[in-house]
Amino acid sequence: MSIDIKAVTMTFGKTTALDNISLKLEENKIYGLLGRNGAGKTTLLNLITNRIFPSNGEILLDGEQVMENDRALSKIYFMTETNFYPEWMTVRKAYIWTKEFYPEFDAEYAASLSEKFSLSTGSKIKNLSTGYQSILKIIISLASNAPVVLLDEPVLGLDANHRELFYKELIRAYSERPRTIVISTHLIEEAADIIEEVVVIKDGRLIMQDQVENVLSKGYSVSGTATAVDSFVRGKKVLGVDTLGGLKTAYVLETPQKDSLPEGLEISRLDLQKLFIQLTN
Amino acid sequence: MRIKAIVKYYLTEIKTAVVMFYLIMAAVTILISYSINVTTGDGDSFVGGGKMASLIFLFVAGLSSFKQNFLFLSTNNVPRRLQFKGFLLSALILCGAMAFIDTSYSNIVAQFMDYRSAFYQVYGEWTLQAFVLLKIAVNFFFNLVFYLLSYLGGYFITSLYFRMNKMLKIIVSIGVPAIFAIILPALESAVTKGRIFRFIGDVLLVLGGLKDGVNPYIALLSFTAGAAAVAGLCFLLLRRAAVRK
Repeated sequence: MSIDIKAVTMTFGKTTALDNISLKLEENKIYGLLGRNGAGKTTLLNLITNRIFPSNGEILLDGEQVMENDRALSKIYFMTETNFYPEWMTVRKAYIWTKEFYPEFDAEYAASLSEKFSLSTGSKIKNLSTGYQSILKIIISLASNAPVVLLDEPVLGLDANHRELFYKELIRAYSERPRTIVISTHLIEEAADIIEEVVVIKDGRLIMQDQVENVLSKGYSVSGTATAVDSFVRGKKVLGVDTLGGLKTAYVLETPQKDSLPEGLEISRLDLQKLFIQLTN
Repeated sequence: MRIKAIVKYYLTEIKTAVVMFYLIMAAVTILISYSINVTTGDGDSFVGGGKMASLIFLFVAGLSSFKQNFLFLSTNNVPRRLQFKGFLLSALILCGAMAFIDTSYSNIVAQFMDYRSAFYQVYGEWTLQAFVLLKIAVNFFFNLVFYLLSYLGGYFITSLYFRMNKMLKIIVSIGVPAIFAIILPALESAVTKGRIFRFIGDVLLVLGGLKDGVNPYIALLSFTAGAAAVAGLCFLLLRRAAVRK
């Protein structure tokens, strides 16, 4: 299922959270939605699921408006940072009720994931720690079998072991049953390996949408002494620089030509996080 | 298909509270009947007030039916319009079931003791002339729409508060009680000399079918229109509500 976001603007009072965003999320791809705090990532996800209404523009799921459209909305599962489950609800009840609203929900898979993550299904959700509340929502998202899964900060509060398990399970679930997945996260380095395409938002504007491989092959970082780096990057499109003592690293957005590299300089591949930092600084 | 799940969810949410309510009501009724029998010793007592308890229960249930359910159903990506349809259906089922229980109770108990429900007390003149089945049917529908109005009223207040910002909440929370408890009585005694309250009383009598004779059908129509109007307002509040804590 593909999502078409057409010229969407969202304002809250005098603040423009999203400014004329247009993008297409294709079927069965894993997207990384990146942006600094307050860039508008959660607002965009809230708009896709009609939790809020756009000030302008429209959002379509396979050509159908999502706004107040049960057929479209029932195909999307949105894991939010905030917990909206009733206080009395236990993990087991949450699975039962999710099955009512998402008939494709795989209760057995949810039970097996609960075991893997050591999540007690008899516990009340309100008594779970932040990490375990994230785990519960991760399990529901993966087991929902919705054709579109939106994950907003899915690893919030998760320890390193659980984060690794989550990435593994996400890949496994995706390979067994491909779906469109959008992951909004600040842990870019960790998620970089599973993201196929990256969407970067800065101050409510879309500044990049491309395949991760394409993005990374378009640039490089060059390190060496400050003077050597400065003279090498003169006239090139420099995304940004890091300086540490007399050493400098410049991030250049163009294809590297190793033949023309002066002695004493070192070229390496851009990594997604570095690129993101330079793009959004 | 998801409408079934929504109705099921609403009814599951309130099921325990309803059972508890009727258990308490049954215990209180038995206790009161027993006390009256012990004190008067005549075994023929007048007991009432059950309907008022149901109304208060439904109003409170309505108050707690909005926010948590709206957020939970939104978590499951249920559109607002469908949520509201589900709510209305579950309200009809809940109020219908309670109206059925209360109507059956009052009509059965009335066979054994001098028991008159609020409906028979208010529309006694009409009930003396009507057929038994008609009386029971009108009593049932009267209870149903009155309960619906009360339940929807509670839902309306919380959805209104959910939509308001902090300043509006403060203004309404202080302003509305102030109007009814201070401003209106002061205005009545100083300027209008009881005309406003008389007017309100007259309007209530007309709407209740108690002006110029006794006619429960007018009350049925008024309460139905009232419940429909409150439902409409609730939907207007819900249709653009943002999902937030």
